[in-house]
Amino acid sequence: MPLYYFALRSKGAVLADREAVDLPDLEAARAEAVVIARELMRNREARVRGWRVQVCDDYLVPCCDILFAEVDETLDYLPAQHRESIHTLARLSAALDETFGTVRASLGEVRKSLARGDSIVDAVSSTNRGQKPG
Amino acid sequence: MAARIATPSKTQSLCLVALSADALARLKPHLKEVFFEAGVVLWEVGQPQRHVYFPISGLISVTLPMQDGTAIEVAVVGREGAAGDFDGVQKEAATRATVLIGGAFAQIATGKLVEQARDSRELERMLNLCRGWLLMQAQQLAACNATHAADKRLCRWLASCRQRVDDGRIHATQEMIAALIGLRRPTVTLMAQALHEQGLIEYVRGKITVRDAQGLEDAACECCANLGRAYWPATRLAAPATKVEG
Repeated sequence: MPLYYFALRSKGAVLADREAVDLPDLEAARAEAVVIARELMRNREARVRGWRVQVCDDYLVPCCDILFAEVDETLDYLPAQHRESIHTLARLSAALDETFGTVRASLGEVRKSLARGDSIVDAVSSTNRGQKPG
Repeated sequence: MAARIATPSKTQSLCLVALSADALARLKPHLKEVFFEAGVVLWEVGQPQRHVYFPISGLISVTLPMQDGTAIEVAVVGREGAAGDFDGVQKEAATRATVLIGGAFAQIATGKLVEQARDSRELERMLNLCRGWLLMQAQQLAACNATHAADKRLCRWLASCRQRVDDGRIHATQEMIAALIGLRRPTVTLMAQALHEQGLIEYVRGKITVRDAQGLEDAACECCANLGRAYWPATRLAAPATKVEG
């Protein structure tokens, strides 16, 4: 049976389950992702509609994505057009979160580079101070 | 049953320690310290509960098995209480009790305990408190499973186990935890990853180490506090009896 990996994409961060799950096919993996999404969102649906469960194959290639809002059963009572509006909003909010996440990660890298630069400058300055003019 | 006589433990059952010397002396001749490994079934649905167990260093999980094979946890008992039939009248258990964390347990035959409690108000009170503790947990967990989000329930489960183990290490696989709180294994793994990133827990090969017990309790649902130390049978046994308890 093929192996599938599940990851949670939320607030611009990715949490990956490193343990694979044996499932008959992609359809079964998708169904499993829907169950996981529903378990993760139950009793806090409104706050996590932009979260997604991503399914990856054995080579860690993404196969499908489950947006929480799209499998949120608490929205079933709404007319289709209202549900679609909520789905669109959730997709946009997820995209915004992804962007913020990327920006945050870039800023983190910049901070690390600056800190490295500062430590090199400090090391050079202290070496220079230690050298007496010949 | 895979039990062996344990070497005397450094730790003790908080419930037994809270008893007066007189009440404890009544039980002592009938108590036996045994060691059970994790996974040992202490009683099964439909079978009689021949013994009452006072955990000394291990934890007992009481579950309610369903026809589809799931078995959701309805109570956890550690050093603060006891697990068993406290009346000696149930011919068939309605639940299953499994050793969740292996360790030492003080074991007493149900009949002997009930017999001793007939002549001692203090022992009778202890049995009432232990029985009430199981009921209180079952009620709280029923409401918790129905109304609280999975991440808060996981924190509640971890924090309540942490309160009952000495070293902060909970030997439990994510499959095991998932089954007890009624979730898929990957759901628990993804939430555990989040807790790890927040610095609350560490997880290595089936062993969870709680890094920030207070943080975990803060992240848990209200049920964690509602089943906190103040409500433990051992705590209440150490306090004077109230009118309601009789």
